[in-house]
Amino acid sequence: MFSKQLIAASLQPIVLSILSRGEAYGYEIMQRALDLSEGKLIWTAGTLYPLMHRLEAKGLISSIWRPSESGPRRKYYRITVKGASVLETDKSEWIGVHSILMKLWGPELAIG
Amino acid sequence: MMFNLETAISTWKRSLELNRSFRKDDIEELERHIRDVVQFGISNGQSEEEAYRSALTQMGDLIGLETEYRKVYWEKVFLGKRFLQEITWELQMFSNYVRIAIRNLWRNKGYTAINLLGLAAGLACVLFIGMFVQDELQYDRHNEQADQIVRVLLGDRQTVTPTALGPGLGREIPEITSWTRIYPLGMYTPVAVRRGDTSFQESGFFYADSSVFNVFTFEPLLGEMKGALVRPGTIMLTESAATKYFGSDNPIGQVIETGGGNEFEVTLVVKDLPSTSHIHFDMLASFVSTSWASREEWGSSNFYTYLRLNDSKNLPTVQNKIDDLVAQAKTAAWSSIPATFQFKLQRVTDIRLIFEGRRVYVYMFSAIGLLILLVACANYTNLATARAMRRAREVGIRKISGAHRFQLARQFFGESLLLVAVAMIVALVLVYALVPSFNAISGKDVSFSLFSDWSTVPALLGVCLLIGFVAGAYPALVLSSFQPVEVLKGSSRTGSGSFGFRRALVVFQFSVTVFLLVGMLTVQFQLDHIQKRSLGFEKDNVVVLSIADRELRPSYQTIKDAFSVLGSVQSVSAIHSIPGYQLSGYGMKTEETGLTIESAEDAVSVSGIPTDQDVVETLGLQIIAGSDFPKTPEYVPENGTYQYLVNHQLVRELSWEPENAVGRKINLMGNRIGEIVGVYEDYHYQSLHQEIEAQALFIEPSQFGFIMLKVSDEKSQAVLAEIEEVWTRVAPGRPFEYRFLDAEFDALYRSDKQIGSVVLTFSILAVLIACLGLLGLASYSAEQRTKEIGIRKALGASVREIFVLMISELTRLVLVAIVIAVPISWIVMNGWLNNFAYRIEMQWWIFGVAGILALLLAITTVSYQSIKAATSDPMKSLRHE
Repeated sequence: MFSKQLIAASLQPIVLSILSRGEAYGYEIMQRALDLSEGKLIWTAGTLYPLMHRLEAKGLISSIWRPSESGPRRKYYRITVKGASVLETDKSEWIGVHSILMKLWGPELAIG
Repeated sequence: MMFNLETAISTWKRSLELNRSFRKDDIEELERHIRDVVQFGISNGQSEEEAYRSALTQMGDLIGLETEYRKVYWEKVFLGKRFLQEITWELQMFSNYVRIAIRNLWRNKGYTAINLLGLAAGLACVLFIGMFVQDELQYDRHNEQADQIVRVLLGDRQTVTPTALGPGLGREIPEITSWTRIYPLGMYTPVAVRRGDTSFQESGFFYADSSVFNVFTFEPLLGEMKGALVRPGTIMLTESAATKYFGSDNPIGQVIETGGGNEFEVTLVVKDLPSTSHIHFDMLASFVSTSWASREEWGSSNFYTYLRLNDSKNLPTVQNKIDDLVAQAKTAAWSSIPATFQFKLQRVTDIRLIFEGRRVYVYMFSAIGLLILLVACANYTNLATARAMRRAREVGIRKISGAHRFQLARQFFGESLLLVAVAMIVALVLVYALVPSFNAISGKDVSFSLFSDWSTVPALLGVCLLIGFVAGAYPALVLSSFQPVEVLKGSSRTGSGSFGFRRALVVFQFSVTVFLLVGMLTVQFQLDHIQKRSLGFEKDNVVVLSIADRELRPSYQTIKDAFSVLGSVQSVSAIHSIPGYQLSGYGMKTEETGLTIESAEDAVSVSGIPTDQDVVETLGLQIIAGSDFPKTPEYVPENGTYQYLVNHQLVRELSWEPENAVGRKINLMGNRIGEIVGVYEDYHYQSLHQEIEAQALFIEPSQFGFIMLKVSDEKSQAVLAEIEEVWTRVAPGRPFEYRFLDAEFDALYRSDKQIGSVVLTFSILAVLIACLGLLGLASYSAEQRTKEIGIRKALGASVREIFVLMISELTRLVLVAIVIAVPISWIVMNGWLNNFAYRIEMQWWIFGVAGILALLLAITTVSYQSIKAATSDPMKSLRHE
């Protein structure tokens, strides 16, 4: 399991990334994250849904209720244009951090 | 019972629906989430119930969930969408809290009354103490830039300084922007002031340099401040003095006369000085009118010297410069300064608080105020928790209906705040009504008005909130934490959990009570000690008349003779100023240091009091070496033939022995070379707050201010009538304003007595408030134990045994309180006593008395309830409920 801080920090980019591949409902997003992380990313509903509210309030995602073939209707989320551009920023930042760490942890390079 | 998924989900849903943080949409989304998890679980082989439970676990706990949703909710609310709606809802809830609070308070009238009374009395005390402290802190602050004004002391305590000091400092030290001398003539001897037929003896007749207006702040009413006291023969009056002599006439340009035929033209009328001024006068004549103005001397110290500095921070600098000036004595004006002289600067804003020692009282009263407040809070807390038992059901029902712990806490805080608010209103009414009595007891002149100062109302609201929270905190937290299941089953002893806390509160209250009782007794005994202390002179049965004017003074011998023949008069004596008020300082030289004035450096500072030959007899002084003044009425003092009586302290200071002091030659500055004829035992020529310093008595009729008559009985009208008859004959046209030496001396302790009675009043009130709380508590505990007592009685317990049972617990608590309070009060009161030059020692029996008193008070308070409970009919109490 990841640390609390890391989970909190990565929540927004992960959710936005999942939504950038197509709309999804809450439970689906959670399952996707769980699968991708091989069980390391455990979110509670209490973390995820309030975040969805916040992202919606910021205009990064939008939501729509759709009927379901089994049981009550579901609320689907999709990324907005604004959300996509925020995701691009997030992406470059994460890649930036990633590459720094990789350089530091990789084989030592002669500098200069 | 079989698990049913639909029932489980709908129960869960309802618990969310009751919560305002979740909207319908949110619940629907969460429900769908749970259903997805359950489906997934079932497809993985879990049972429906297992799957549901793990779905709930995944959801996180309800409180965490709610907190997150609430945050989101409020973020949105603040975006403006539903702000108004939210406010309306809060207001509705608030009015609901208030309504329930009122109902609750009304239903328990006895409890409410006790609480209200205790809180209101406590708050009223605190308000009064606040006014007292505020008034003390206000002293001399009416002056603009008050912290730039300093008074110069001679030595550590002498307030009167030489004429040369002010001008000398003004010339040498650039940091001094102005200086002024005030000559408090009327304080030494009242001045007879006359205008037409109106004539009074004025002790508030002072002289001052015209620069007094640059140092102090006055509010001019008539005339111009500029140039007001520049010419000789001009005078400034306060408003009340102007009214006294001129009624509604305009006094500007008019003339008043003093005894010796001096005339003063009124050039300025100012508003009376506020009661919070350390110095008080009614008239200020121009300093240039006195003969002192042309002489800058170091020899006689009769003048207050005040300076205004360019910056309050420069006080240490100026002090150093003064020390240098005195030490080097370079310039001509400073060359003749006695080397023993030391001047000390003191801020006028420190005079009241530090120099006059009132800061101790400010601290003392603040502490008493705080204690009263805490005792009143403890009352509330105690009674409210005692009632917890009864309200436990209410809390249970509310919780089941969906009330939040934090909403319940709000409800209880609401109740305490409401009660405090009502108590504050009652307290304000009390304060308005009792201000005159407070002023009478404390000798202050405070007035109370809610809106005179912008900070009053917010401060009062702040106090309300603070007390509401302090008093309500414990009940709110304890009551709201009850578990509904336990409470409703009736299985938990809800009262017992808070029992320890209640006992702690009672111990606290009685520690405070014992502490205040000890404090009260110590203060009373110390003040009593001061007043009863042997003064070294006989102050009783001495009638004092002022002869301080140019016509009466020369004929003092005739006046004296006229009084001496009266049968009721045992002895007559003339003196410069009466004991208690003997301020005037002289530089004294001895043979060792050279008697002549030219070499004044080694002069010793002494209090020099001109008298006639009979002062020892009239005041009952004790000669311990040598003899009294020789009784030679025709003796005229001149340089070389002066005769001196000196006090024991002077002899000690010079390391002489009383026996060999007699016959030595001394000179009190200003050509008064003469011989010591006798040494008298020290007497208190100033108040007992001050230690006795060196003093010399010498004969010099030109400085006489008073005639003192030792009579058989000063209370006798016949004696006074005889004296008046002689007075009108020897001093025609002068008002017969007599005073009594004992009354004048006692007046020095008026403020001590006032402090004593204020301490007494507030301490008694604090103790009463504590007892009030105890009374309420006792009645609750009696009520709760009704059944227990009934059963005990039915099983054969006697009334006495029940009574002992009821009070034994309390007795133990009071004993603990005594153990806690004794060391604390010993330390505090011993510290207070150290402020006195003459103090009592702490007495162990004061603690005994205080302890027994506290115990008696506690037992008396609860005994009514206990006796009632003990004598009740067990049949009735067992049928009860």
